[in-house]
Amino acid sequence: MQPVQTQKTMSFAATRALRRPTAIFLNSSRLNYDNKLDFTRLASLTDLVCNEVDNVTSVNEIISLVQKHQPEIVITKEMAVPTQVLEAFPSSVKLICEAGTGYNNIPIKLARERGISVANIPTYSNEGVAHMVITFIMNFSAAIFDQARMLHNNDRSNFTVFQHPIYEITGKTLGMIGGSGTIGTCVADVALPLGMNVIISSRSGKLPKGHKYEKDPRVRVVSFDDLFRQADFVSINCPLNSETRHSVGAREIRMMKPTAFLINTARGAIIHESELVECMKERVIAGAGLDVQETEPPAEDSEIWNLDNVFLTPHIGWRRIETRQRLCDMTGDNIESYVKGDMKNVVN
Amino acid sequence: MDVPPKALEAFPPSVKLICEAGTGYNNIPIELARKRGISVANIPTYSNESVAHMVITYIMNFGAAIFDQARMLQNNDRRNFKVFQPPIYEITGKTLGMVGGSGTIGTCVADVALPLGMNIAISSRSGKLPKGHKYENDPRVKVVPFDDLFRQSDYVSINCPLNSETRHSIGEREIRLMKPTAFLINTARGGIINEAELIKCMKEKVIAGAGLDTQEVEPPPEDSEIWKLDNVFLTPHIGWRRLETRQRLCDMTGDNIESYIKGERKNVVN
Repeated sequence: MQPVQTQKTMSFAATRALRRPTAIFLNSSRLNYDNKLDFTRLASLTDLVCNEVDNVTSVNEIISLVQKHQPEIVITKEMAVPTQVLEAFPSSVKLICEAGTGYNNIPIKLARERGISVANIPTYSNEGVAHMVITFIMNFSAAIFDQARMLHNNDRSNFTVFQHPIYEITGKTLGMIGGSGTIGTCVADVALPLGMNVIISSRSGKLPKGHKYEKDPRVRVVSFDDLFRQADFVSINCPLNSETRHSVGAREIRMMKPTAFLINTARGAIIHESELVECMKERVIAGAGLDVQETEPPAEDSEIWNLDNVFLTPHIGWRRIETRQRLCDMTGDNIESYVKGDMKNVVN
Repeated sequence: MDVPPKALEAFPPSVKLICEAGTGYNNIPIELARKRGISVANIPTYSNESVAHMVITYIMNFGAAIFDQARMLQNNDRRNFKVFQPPIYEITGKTLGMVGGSGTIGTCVADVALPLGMNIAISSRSGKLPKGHKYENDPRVKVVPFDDLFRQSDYVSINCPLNSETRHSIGEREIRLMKPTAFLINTARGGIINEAELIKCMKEKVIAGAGLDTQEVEPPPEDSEIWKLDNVFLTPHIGWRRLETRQRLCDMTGDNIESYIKGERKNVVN
């Protein structure tokens, strides 16, 4: 573990305008795993120390890093900051920036008690995630995963007689669980021009007032169960919480059409994964595309790896390079607003 | 299916109509048919979205390195789940260049590419979109010269017919104009691309990938190197194969026959 000091010199005028607090990014390689991101802005706003690892799990290591550098700002990316660690932070620490949306990893109440603000980035990858839903829809309709598998096995029989059922997208129904939010709306923005009908399940029974598609006859709110019955593609677009955890399981999957597909780009635990595996082994539905799983990655010996009707991607909805650069830049925005005394995106 | 002149000349006088259950009719000697009092009908358009949506499928897959990921998983290589290997990109803000994209299929592609946040560049011999074109006044859709399309695009899609002008119009010269991060997509006709030159370029990794739903010979010869390139994905001309599309071909052939029986000349090409 080698902390790397990166410094850029600010212009004289800028130096007079803003001070440069010390910041430490505890696990910068979680975000910059390919070293392709530009940290210039972060490094000009702060005296930046990057701990170039994916994760630090040792409580003592985290404490020792932070005590060594006495930062004012701590940056994390999906890295647990246990209570014990927070309690050992030096008094220099005033801000924790999560370089992402979820902040379950940070004890925010305790942070507030210790005078530490916690900021997140509420939205940065709507299209990045929405376009993964579209990618799965296009691929399932044209049996691309099946074709790829055969070609990799040097099986060219599709080029003599085409083996798989493939379907038009026009006129099909996309059902989005919790799809009335920003990501669901981005999905609809593309699904509608593809000629799909869109159905959404919503606890309120209707789209929020002022919703972009409130008056569009191609977008309807239906009951949770009806969504599974009617959809050709079911996409999960809701947050993970105590209500939604394991809310999609064998019961819901068995209501789906046998020709339908299930897509999850939200959070793995919304689906009851072992029930999904059983259903996919039985071919209850035609396929599942999962960008998120209950554990990421799934256990080495999980049957989910070997199901030919399930395609897994390693949570790539946020990984596109422009999306990750935006995370850097918006972390910079949060820091800049903090330094100016005008706090942005504080969650505690 | 080929109907050679010899076959046509041996048709009994009962034959009055030949229906091609598709769009192209190069396979039928239509002038000879007319001389023998036989009408030839085709189905000019039946699968615009089906083909257009294959273009979109390739764009989404190349943007998210899906083919690379599938290959690794097939080889039981799960490294992407520890540290993600391939570069992947947002679609928003990227440029789709369509060679001959001002026609019906190109317009269907634009219908989806624009909501995906793409900019569109089209090459057209006239230098502008046809009057009344759906996107005539849309600032996100521009006509550019042929060479500039290759230089500017993140995704080049071929959307023109195959004829003596377009045959082998895309080869090493055009591919070398493209960005090294760009992708080439062909859902039109294989003969538009000089396939041997494409193979050479893909072996050299001149561009990032190619998605071909059509090839010069379908299927490509057993021993063609095109099968082995990991930056080329082949589909067996599936643009028209979706079940509903093929059913529509049946039904529209029925429409042509019904109109013939009623004494009309729907979709007659001779």
